[in-house]
Amino acid sequence: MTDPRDHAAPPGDAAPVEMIDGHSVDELDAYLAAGRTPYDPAIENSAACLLYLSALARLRERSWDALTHEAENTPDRDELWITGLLDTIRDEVRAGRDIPLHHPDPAIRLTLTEAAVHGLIRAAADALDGVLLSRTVLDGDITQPGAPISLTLTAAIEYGFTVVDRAELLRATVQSALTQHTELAVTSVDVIIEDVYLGRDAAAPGGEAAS
Amino acid sequence: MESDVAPGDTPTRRVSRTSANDRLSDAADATLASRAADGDVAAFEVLARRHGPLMRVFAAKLLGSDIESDDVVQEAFLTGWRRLDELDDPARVRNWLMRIVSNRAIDRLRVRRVHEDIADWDPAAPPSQDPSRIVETQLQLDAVWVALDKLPTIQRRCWLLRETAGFSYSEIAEALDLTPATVRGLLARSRKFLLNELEAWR
Amino acid sequence: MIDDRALARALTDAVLATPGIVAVFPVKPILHAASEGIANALDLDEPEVLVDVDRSDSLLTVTAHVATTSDCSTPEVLGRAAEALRAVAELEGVEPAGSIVVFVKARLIADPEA
Repeated sequence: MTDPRDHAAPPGDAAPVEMIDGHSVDELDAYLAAGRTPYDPAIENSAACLLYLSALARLRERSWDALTHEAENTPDRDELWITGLLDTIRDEVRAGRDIPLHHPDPAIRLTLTEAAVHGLIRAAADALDGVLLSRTVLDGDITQPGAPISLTLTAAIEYGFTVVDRAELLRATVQSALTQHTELAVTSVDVIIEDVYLGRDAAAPGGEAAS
Repeated sequence: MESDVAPGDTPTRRVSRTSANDRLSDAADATLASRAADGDVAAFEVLARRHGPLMRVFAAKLLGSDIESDDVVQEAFLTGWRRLDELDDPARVRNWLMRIVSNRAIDRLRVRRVHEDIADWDPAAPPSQDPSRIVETQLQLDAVWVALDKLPTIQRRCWLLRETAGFSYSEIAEALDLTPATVRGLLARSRKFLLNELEAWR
Repeated sequence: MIDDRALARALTDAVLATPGIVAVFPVKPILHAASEGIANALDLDEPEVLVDVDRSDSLLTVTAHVATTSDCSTPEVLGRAAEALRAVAELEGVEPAGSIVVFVKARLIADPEA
């Protein structure tokens, strides 16, 4: 037999359709890919089909494992492209809209970029314990002085902290940073807590005992 | 600035005080993708470190080239950064990036097809020769590579796009300039071959 | 009166000397702001002229893009920077009857420890 790599399958030479207990393997493959939904009793009650599905599922898992495993074993090559990537994207941060700041002299125009405000909010949130900010949405015409702005912060709370306390602390801290550094007329700050995460100590084995 | 922990603000349970950096490193993909979409380079860096290695191995297998894979992955992450506002579900950022990597790799294959003789596209990337790989727990994983490497290049590409990047038959067909029926046939062959090699299926 | 390149250099020095300003970014090209950390911002291969000077007729336009530190009020810092820029421009660069407009934009509000 020749090395299969040497003979690329000619398009016309389709393999004969393989059937398992009345179902084509294509159908079974599609069923598995769809997460075995909608539930098909004809397949799920056939021992032969179930065997085929589990072999196929194992095969998928193994090829995925092989990829992840190889990836884990070659970590040191990443520094180069990641450094190059970061250098490029740092220069590409979208500044976003310009947010005006008041100055009594009309010949002086002061502005703040939207990106700077997002960064300010993240830095303020990251200084707090037990909170991890995800999304920040500034709603309203920030380019118009005095226009009402509503701010929505989405965050996760570390397990062991009180949700209400953290949410309130986050709201107050961000509001105070905005008051200090911007002139945005922030009419509301909504905090949405969408997740709870485990801190490093809690996640470590025997974490409760660690100091 | 006010202190971050005001009096009376002490949490009721033991405080673990995970630092901001550690919090970001441990954060869920969805959180990182959301922050990155808001312009947070540090969050995107965590995503690149977390998923980049896998993307690179995937690209190398798809391209049959270890050297080009670095470029493909770097380009793909750059594209991802520029298009973060198009990402509908931040929790699925890995799949989304995987698709971009696939598309980038396919672009390269197209260019090669124009410039090179179709007959000898490329040999498969050889499996890594690091001796530490050759231990018993590796055998199973090596078997996967050995089997994948035995597939004809075109079948291996179809398989990787389907099983790893989640492409549909028609997407694979478009990417590789084949008809959907051909893709179906190629996938059937590769599935059968791999099941036979790895799962002793018939 | 000095030439515009020397003026731009003097303006860059003036804005950098303003308390609360921790970095100046080149105005051109526009997309050249660092968002994370001063160290990175300063790692850009530094042309010494970062503040932009533009003349049309008798109007002198001065534009500066900066990073401020989060322990000072950004509007106040930007105001001081703009006034410092105008003082230098009036002293060094403008014709007696000319007028000056100063634009100052904060692209980053940085953590003081960063």
